[in-house]
Amino acid sequence: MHRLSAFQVLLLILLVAFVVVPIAMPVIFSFSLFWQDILPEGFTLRWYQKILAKPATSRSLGVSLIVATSAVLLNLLIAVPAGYAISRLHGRFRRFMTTVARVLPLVLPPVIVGTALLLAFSKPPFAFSGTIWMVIVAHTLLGFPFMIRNTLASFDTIDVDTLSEAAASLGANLWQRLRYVIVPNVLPGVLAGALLVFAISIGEFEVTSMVAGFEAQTLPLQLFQQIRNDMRIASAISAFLVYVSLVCFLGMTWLGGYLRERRA
Amino acid sequence: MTAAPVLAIEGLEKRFGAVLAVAGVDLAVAEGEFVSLLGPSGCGKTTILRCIAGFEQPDRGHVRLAGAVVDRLPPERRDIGMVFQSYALFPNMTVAGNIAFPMMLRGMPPAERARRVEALLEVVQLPGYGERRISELSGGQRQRVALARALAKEPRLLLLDEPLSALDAKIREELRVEIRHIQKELGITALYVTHDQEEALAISDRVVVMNAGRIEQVGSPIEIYRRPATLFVAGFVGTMNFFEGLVLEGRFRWREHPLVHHGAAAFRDGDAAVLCLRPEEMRAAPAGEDLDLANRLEGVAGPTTFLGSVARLRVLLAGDRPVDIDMPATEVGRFPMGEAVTIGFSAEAGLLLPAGREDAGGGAVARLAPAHSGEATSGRGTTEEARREAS
Repeated sequence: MHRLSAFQVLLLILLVAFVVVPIAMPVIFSFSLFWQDILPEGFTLRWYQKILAKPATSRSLGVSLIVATSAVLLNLLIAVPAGYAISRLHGRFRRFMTTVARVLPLVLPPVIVGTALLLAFSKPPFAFSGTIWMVIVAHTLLGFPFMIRNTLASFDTIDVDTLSEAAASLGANLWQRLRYVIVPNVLPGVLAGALLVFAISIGEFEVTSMVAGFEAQTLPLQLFQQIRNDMRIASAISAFLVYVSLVCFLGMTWLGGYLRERRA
Repeated sequence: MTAAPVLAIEGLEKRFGAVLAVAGVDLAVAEGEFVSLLGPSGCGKTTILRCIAGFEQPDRGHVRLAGAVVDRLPPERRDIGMVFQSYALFPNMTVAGNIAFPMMLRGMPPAERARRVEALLEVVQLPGYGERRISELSGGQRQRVALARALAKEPRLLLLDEPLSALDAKIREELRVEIRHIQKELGITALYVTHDQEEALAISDRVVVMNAGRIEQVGSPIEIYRRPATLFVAGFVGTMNFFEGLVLEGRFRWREHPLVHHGAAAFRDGDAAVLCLRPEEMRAAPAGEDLDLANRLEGVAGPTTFLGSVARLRVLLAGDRPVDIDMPATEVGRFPMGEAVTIGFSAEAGLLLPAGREDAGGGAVARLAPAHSGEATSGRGTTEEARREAS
């Protein structure tokens, strides 16, 4: 590795500070008893215990976990078959479908997604507005572009047509081709997408605040409430959200490394 | 033949949109035979292979395996093994996992599977490679594994779709000798698709030359090379010099030159004919030196290409007509560029073929210049071509 100049080192330190400091603040705060002066004092887990002890926050923790898990499962059900279908298309239509699936949901502003959901699901038979179902639908939708992006990328790393034909020539029926050849090869990428969807769902605020109502308060919505009530609990909630994001991040990094190694 | 041939194709037709990829093909392959389908890109050879494997449905005609029509059977229920140009190994499995895959599907016990995998790795000369990842193997090794995997099923018929096209020239030659050896050793029946005429001639019992969805000629490699049935085959296989002319009074005339050829008697007066001469069937001498041959033409020496054991001299006849002539490599230097040269050939050399039949797919067919089928054999871009042909 070549030597870095002092200026480069300074830039790198600033970059790390820019990324890490805002994340570290609530984490440090959440473990401290007092923080009046420059440095925090005392170590405690009290604020985390309070999340579980208070009915409102413990309930929203449950809601968040259910919503995130459901959004992941729904996305798996939708994105994997969709990715398989798109990967078997060719030419211009394939590029068009790929762009529609990957980019279109990303460029829509969250406020508009929220409004659209409210309009779509306010009347029977889909009167989901204000229920946990509504939040699940919203988070599935918000996670979809990331899920399909990862899924398509992993389908692109293999020649689905030829591998399927090779497996068929060796005696594998459609189920066996998917079970032994296609799914194992796309799984790491799909799992990375699933982790991303989970992380997005756990932290989503904007659209959720529009569609959740009182029944389906997720953890970020509680966080917003607690900022005005009790800054200590708020810091513990945000620290918890940071941990979830970090675990997802580490998982994705590991999967990425695994994929690179296998393809080397 | 008493028993039904391992493979029989009857009146096979396949159309992709407006393109008739296979235009009525009949072919039978006997037990233990190694047959090649040879032709340029888009001639329908890969489509035929894919119809046999069950990846494409023929529009007309039938495919029979060991006598039984298999048109309605999906690929997984046909008794075939297939080797692909792109290897098509499963990257999620080890070498052993890939080879054991067809045995696993059949429910063979793991101990027996492991034993057979080892035996097959011996056959393809990769002993001890079982636990390697596919990504750790070279192209040649990957294709050996793919071959072992296709053999693991013990299929009645082995299909090979341009298996060597993605490999380097050296490995390609090594592996084709080995494929042939394994095929003979195990008594496998094989159908081999290639656009490389040298490969087809080297490896096959019989070669089927195809053009524009039709069979041009079926024969042993020597027949195909020595006695091409059509101008297309003459131009596609090996290097050939063409002289287009007329038969008049029992003699073949090329331009103003009357030439003696033993085949001329078979033509009627006034028939258009093409004299086809291989580079090794002609000789060259510096002008003035005597050539004791029935036919002689005057020209000017062009560039000489050194090919190892032989050298190929290009001679420009009147009107800048190039003719390629082979000579022993020791004679390189006898013909400086621009010097006058006499070329000659006997009355028995070469073939006199009827001219005329403009070929539907060709372009290569009636070319006046020596046709270098070798042009089509470079490995580059073949994946793309094969794909275009298939889709």
